Amino acid sequence: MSEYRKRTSALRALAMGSLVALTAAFATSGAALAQTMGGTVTVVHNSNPPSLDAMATSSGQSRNVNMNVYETLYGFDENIVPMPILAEGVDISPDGLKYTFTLRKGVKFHNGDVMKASDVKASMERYRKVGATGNLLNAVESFEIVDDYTIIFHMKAKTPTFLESFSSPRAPAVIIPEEDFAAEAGKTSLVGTGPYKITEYVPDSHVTLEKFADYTQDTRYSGPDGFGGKKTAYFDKAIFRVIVEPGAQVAALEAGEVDILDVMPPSAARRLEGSKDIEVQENKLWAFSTFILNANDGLTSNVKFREAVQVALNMEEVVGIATEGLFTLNGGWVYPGTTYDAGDIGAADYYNKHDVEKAKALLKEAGYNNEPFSLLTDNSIPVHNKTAVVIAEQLKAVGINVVINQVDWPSALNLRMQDTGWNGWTLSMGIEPYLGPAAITATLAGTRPHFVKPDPVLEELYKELTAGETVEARKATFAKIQKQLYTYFGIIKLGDIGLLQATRSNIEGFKTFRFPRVYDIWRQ
Amino acid sequence: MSVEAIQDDTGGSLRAEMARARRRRTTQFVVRLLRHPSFAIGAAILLVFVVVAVFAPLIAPYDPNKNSYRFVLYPPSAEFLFGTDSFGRDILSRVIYGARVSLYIAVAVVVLTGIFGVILGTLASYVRWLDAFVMRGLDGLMAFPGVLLAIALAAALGPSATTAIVALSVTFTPRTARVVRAGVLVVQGMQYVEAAHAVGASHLRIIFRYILANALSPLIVQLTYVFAVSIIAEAILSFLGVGPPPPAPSLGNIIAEGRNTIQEAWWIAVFPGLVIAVVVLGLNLMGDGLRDIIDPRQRNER
Amino acid sequence: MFVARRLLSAIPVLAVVSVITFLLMWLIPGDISAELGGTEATPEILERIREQFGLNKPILERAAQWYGALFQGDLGHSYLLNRSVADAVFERLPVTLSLAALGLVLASVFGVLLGILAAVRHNSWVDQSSMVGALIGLSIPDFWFGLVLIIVFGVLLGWLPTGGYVPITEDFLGWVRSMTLPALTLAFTQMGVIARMTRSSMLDVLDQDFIRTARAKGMSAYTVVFKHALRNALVPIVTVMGLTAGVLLSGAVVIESVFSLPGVGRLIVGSIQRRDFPIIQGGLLVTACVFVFVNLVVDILYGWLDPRVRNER
Repeated sequence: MSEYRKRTSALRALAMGSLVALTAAFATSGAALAQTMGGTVTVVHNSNPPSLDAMATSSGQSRNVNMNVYETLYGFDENIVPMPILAEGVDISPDGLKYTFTLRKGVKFHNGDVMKASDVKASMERYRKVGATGNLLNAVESFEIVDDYTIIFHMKAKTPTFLESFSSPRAPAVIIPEEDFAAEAGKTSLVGTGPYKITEYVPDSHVTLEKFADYTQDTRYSGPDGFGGKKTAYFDKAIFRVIVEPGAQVAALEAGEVDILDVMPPSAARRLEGSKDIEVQENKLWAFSTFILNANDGLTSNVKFREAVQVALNMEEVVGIATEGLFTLNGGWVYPGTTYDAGDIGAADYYNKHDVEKAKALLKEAGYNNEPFSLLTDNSIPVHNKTAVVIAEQLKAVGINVVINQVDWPSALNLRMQDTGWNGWTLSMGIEPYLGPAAITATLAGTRPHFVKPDPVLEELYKELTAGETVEARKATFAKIQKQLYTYFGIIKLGDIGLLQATRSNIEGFKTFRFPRVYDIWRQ
Repeated sequence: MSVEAIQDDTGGSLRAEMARARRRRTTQFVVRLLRHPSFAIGAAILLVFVVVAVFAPLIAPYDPNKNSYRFVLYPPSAEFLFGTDSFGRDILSRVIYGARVSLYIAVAVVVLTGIFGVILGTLASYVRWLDAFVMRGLDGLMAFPGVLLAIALAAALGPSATTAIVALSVTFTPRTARVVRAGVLVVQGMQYVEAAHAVGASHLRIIFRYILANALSPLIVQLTYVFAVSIIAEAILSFLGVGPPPPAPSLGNIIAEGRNTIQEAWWIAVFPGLVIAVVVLGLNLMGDGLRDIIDPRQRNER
Repeated sequence: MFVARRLLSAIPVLAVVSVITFLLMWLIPGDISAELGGTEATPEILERIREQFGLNKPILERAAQWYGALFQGDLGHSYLLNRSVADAVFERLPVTLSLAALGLVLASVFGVLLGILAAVRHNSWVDQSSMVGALIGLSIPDFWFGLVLIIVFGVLLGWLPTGGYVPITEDFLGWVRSMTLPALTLAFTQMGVIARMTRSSMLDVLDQDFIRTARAKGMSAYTVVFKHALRNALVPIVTVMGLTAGVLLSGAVVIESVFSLPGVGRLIVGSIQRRDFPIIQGGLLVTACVFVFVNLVVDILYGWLDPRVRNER
């Protein structure tokens, strides 16, 4: 118990800027050591990448592998600012309607061909067709090849946020050879431009990557930075092994059969604290834990009822139990200390209140009469179903008749797309909070994803946010958005959750990030 | 000894001998059962299990679903005999309530499997023109690996105790039917059944009096196996994420919840696992005792 | 003749399996769009994914297409694995079959020996302790036993790998090491079943007249057991082995997941969870074929062991 407390408060204190500190620490230790070439590194994750066709999927498991294999024109640096990777740079016309990308020269694909503008155009056209977030190119009218190393994106209208969404790693707009243009989703030749190439994929077992000998390093930078930078492959081979059971994953790490654990269970991390063989790193800003309410279905269509749910919850207990203590209490809708942090606007009166009396009063006001509350969750992601179990107990305590409907992941996604039949759904959002306020708000506005019944006020505010010309203006809008979220109660912020990653101690240079980078790490 | 009598005698003395044998069975059955050590031990274990399951609300020290962040992952102590889980729930109370769910599922599966297994197995072996038809249908079901069928059904119907019961019954029925059929086929050719045919006994009478009674020992072994496996299979389904849904405990989903922390908090998975092992052991002992006493050919051995 | 008839009768079995599979897939909510589109995909993107994979077509049309391709020997193409269903299934089959075979061999050898020993020494301490051993084997959930083995032999002692698979063609010793714990786990529970069945059918046979006569004639216990009793007791034993072979496929699903073995079982479970319908459909058909084949072998053994069974058919 005291251990959890310590962890939590330490987290709260460290939450801001901790990543920067971590980066600095590793940069120094990395410089002091001699790098070793060669060998094999084995990374463990818990399920198959659904696709090795990077643009066709937004799955994190795919990203883990693919971001070592493919590259984009632009991507995020360590501080989530777009940086050129395969592009030399971009020139945006003053009216915002023309994006002229110049390409780095002599960049080789794994098949030996040199990347040209025609490959970029083919990749973009294919992304429109099969990209899992292909709609981000909806803003683009056409692609024009100027010469082998210059391509222009002609926009339909001015879109200030285009470069940011184009840099998103969610389903990255990677550059692949022109020959793969016509390939159906998942049927490409798996050729990219990254420091590693895919040589073998045995589903449910492993993906083997081999060092790409002719990799064209980006010498503009001194080292890796976010998704880009100067990447150096030290290991000859990198194997991504699938081990489903977390217990078996930890066992394999302890036995030294594998080198890097993509997700380390907190209880195992505590047990191995002080171990000289294993090092654990903490990525504190990994995801938001949320509880989405269906404003279109029966009970939860009543805003008073939704408010009752909000005030009934004890976030510390919900997120604390669900994450085994790896969390930060935060009622805000961006990470604390980041640019758009709106403090506890809205949250002050509603977040983590655990106010049973008020909840009961609101239920009475809503005319609640013991109708069943259907709580949808999945059995694939433990944080989701543990969150559901704790929420259910807390809601029962204020007199809500909760029925948990736990199904598998595709069923859950299918059911929540139905207009009715569910009242609440547990979801941890990983990539959206990483991308910032526009990405979060986008998932709550427009036609679906999360809100079955859109909130007109929020719709307007979202437009205001994307049209905002200055950071100050956008900050002001975002504060209003946060306030509105605590008025509409269509989604409940439960807390910020962290991620632990573990390596064998002899792996040097590894630094926790949105995906395990197998370049610029080596065995001592 | 009755077997020899049937095989040696013919006609009227056969019927007389059968009647005497039946009277002897009914009068001595209960006494024999209770005197049989493995049956007695097994029955005692099962009795305790059933009593605990039925009176769970009176016996359990805590609410099995009450979370408490304060008491997360406590090792076994005087306060929490079996420790607590990652929700801070008392494992002992969850095991006690979990016994209910597991027992309910297993009993339902055994009853359904027994009924359908006997009907289909007897039909297949006794009515020749039905044999191919029934057996191919059962083969079709059997050709579906049981766990996969259960997973697919759970995906289709949503995981619940009922889904588990349906999936497990469908899975075990063909196997049970096959065992019944194999037992009946062997018995059918034996002289005393042929003798019964010869003296003009009706089909139903032959099925119940001679054939089923004699195919009973493999059936009982099979059903104890089904009972044991049902309790274990519930755990497997929970392990694969398709067992009875939370928060209600079952012996299986408690283990499933503890499997990830088996090195850090061994008590979560170990105690329900031990309970499963002991209960299944008890069931099997009981089954063996029953078998020894029901099967007439075993009697002389005692 | 018997074999040919049995092979022909496999056709309705496979038809039943594939029809049930289609029914299940029709019942199962959700599809591949969840896996590829993720949580943020808009309805348009989900619809586009469905269109790409032909999932927006009616189930009957999809079934007709699938059966049409099947008759040309084509099992289709996986939605997710970047390979044909046949490739995906057949590259996995050796893993599952070798696991099941190793498990069955271990379980049969130890199970039959234990059962005979118990039957011959009926009511002695040998009988009781081997039956208690068999019961404990039966009573322990196998996935749990597997986890314990991993911790003891993989982590604490470090003798064997904690999981993963080494193909036999690549490194024989590595294959043996990677299969040892899974096969032991699988065999441990099945051994109990076989030992119990062997014991009870041996007891039945040992009690019959001809054995008594043999014994009375002064034949040695060894001769009685191995020349006379075992052969007669084999009918139910073979039944159970056939049943066990079926259970082993199911058991293999669980063991494969505990030990991270890339077998067919895990392929199908994963495909159900990912809604990769062509793999589910093809994988179940192939495992059904394997199952039918095993049962055919079992039935042939029946006929060989007990001619009356063959004549009945």
